[in-house]
Amino acid sequence: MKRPLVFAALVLLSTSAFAANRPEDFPLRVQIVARAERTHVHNGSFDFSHGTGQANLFENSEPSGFDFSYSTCPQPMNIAGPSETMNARWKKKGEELTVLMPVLGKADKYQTCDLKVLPRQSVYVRSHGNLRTIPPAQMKAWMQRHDFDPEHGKNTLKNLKNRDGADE
Amino acid sequence: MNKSISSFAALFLLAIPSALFAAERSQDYPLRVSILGKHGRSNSNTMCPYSVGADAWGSGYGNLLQGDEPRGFRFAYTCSSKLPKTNRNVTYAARWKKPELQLTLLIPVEGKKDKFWTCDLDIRLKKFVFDKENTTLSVPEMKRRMHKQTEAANSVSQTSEIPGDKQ
Repeated sequence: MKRPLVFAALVLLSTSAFAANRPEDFPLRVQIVARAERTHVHNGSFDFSHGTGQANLFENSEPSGFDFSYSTCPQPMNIAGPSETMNARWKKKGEELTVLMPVLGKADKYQTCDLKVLPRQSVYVRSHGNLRTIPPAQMKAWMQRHDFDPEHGKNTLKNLKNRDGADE
Repeated sequence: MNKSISSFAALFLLAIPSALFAAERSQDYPLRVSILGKHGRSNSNTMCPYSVGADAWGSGYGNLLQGDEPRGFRFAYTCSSKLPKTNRNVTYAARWKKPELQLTLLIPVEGKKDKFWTCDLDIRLKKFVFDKENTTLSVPEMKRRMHKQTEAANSVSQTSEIPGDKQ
């Protein structure tokens, strides 16, 4: 008798957990530039991932780099180009960020992952496959040149001379 | 004699539906998908008693071609085997299981003609197209490249037809 009730409660809880995660509540944007990850499997399916990495935060249209680690993430963390940033918000300003991860195969469903962060004075970029850093001012100039401001919906790079421009 | 005829007929009857099945299946999968990057794990070598029926899982990114419209997507799957990455210029036939959310891929069984297995991918479509090493292209840029490739292929085939015309 109790089992169906517990199951129903769990279903309701998980549904409300999904429903609570709305992109509009996560105004910042995070781009994962590099990561080293371990994934865990349970019953033959993905269970959780943990790892470390380097990323950029876009806050108030300003870019800044940070190192991060995460211990239990409900999805693998994807390295992404500038066109593919994740919504995020501070859990603890300057220490912990919560990123929003779309649930694949489900419309408008999201999960979250908490990243412990270590802010850097520079911004991370990938150049021909290698990770390097540049000053935030240089990144800001690049953003202006390409009309790139993911916090405000400008995710597509403009004024590209060629494809490599996306990796500048 | 009669026996051999009847067993031949039985084999023939068995062969027709399976051949039709293969043909029908490939026609039923009008989309094309390329798997560009992925990571995952296979449980086939583990002794885990719970791994039966779900031998491999993984996630990654790829591109979908629907008509002449290319789109990138992220995916995750749990299937009976590991999903092989597609080589350059090779794509899998696919169809929607749930429009814009789940794709069923038709994957050829290696070494067996007209034999396929299927794998469902949970996906999230992107507004861009993936290029090599996780870089991206805009959809118009990808279309421009596809158009250029088609033109180049056509000019090659026309050039190769010239000697034939002269003969």
